[in-house]
Amino acid sequence: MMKLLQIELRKILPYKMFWVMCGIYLLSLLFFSWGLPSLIDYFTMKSDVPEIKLITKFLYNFPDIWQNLSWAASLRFFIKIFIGIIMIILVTNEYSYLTVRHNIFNGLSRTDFLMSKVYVAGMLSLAATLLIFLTGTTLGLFYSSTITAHAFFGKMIFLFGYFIEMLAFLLFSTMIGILVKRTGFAIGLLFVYPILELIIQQKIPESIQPFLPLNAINHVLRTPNTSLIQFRSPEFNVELQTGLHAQDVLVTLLYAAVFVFISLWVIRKRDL
Amino acid sequence: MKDIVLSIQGLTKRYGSITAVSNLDLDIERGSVFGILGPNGSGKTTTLGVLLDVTRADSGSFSWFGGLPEKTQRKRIGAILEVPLFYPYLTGRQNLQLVAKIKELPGDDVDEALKTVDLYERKDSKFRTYSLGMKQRLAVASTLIGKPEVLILDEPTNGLDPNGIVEIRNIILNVAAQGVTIILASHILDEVQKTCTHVAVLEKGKKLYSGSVQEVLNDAHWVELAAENMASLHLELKNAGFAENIQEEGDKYIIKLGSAMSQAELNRHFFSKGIVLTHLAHRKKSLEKYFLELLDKS
Repeated sequence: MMKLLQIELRKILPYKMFWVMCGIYLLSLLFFSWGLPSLIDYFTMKSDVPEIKLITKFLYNFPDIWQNLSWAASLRFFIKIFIGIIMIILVTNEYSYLTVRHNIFNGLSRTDFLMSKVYVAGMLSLAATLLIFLTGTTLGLFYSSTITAHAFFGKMIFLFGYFIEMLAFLLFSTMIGILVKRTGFAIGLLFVYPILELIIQQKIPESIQPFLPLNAINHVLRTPNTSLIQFRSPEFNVELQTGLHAQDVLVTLLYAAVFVFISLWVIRKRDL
Repeated sequence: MKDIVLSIQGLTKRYGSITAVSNLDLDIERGSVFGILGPNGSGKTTTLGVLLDVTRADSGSFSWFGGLPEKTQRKRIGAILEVPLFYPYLTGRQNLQLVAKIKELPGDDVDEALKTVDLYERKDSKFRTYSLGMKQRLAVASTLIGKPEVLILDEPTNGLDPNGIVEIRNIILNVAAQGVTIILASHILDEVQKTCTHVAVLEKGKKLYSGSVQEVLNDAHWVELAAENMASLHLELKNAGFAENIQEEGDKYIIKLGSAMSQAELNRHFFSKGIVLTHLAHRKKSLEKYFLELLDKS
């Protein structure tokens, strides 16, 4: 595993495009996470509902901040897609440069080749999670009304949930990259498929809907939560998540395994 | 017992209705420089692709080094396949270090390989800034890393200028002199003739010929003769009966023998008849001529 990861790092670290994309992701993460309070302030100035004014105070409270931040960062049409694009580029580059052949005839097996991408997906998920942790820590220290160790570490399990969702999503992106091979088409599909899934969702029984791939892998982090909304929830009639569900995690991991399996099957069968 | 590095049995690869390689059998001995010769589209690259696990064969089998596990095999092979394949945003040196890493080698001979192909000065330039010839030379350098037992070179002189072609040819001959087995695919007859010890000729995926280059080139049946007295030579050629065909070409006769005769036998025969030969040589048939004959027959 370390050997494959070292090989990948040699490909990735000097790659300028990778850092540019990471930069874009970081900027958008900072923009939304630091900008949101000001945005809410802006709207609440015109609002008369006192509860909305309170949101800013509660949104970034420890320990809720972990849930809120992870939930927002893992929304399927939101900034997460940048990391998906990075993953796709790293996979499809091997096809457009034909370096997949170079990797194979120099001695990687086809399984090695895929596993090296799986490790990259793991590494990126880990880095993304770390980024959320750092953002959460700084935001929380700045905004949170309670700063105790108990509050800080409580609900940190949501970071684990974010990692699982991210990993499944990046393995999904890897699969798209391997199936489609062409960078442009693959990125296009990454945008189009979620919409496609929403359309499919309308046409199938409600009981199956949660098991569509993207629904399933976005179900670990279901809702944000703050003490305030929780207090109001009987009126809003929204069931808010208070912890991770083992079944969600398992289904997501199962999907992750299916994505890897499909990629592996294709890569072993096809001419490269 | 011959030491067979690569053995191919009944290899077949189809692309839709086109059969790119058809039931190919081939044995390659250790230490040989084996040319795979054929026009464009004859199945050379497809065959090499299968041998390197880049292309999946439809049927047939092959075994490297008497059947080692596939990953280990390819780490003992240095290869160029069709076009130089590298990461455009990495430097020449970084690309070679990556190759070393994949092959699980320390990579301490990367600089040496770069020097061998005369790219050391440009080692820190990105691959994408290289000219076609430099890219090709980097590809040759990548095959030299870790002193592999077998080199697979698919059209290694593609896109090189005449100087570059000679340089690459010399590198190949040098490496071959160290006992490395070389498999060289080419559509250039001259290249195969000048570097290879053995040759297989492919056309439309079928093997037309396989054997040593010397056998092809030295056809003992054609002889050039000249004598002080050309008239008596001509007369004797007619009477002796071993010449099936006599042609005059400039100041010598070209004869085709019914059965092979050595130069000594011929010389002795004419001397006994009182004819002193001033020129006696087996005619070297060019590979090109042979190749065209083969293609005509097929």
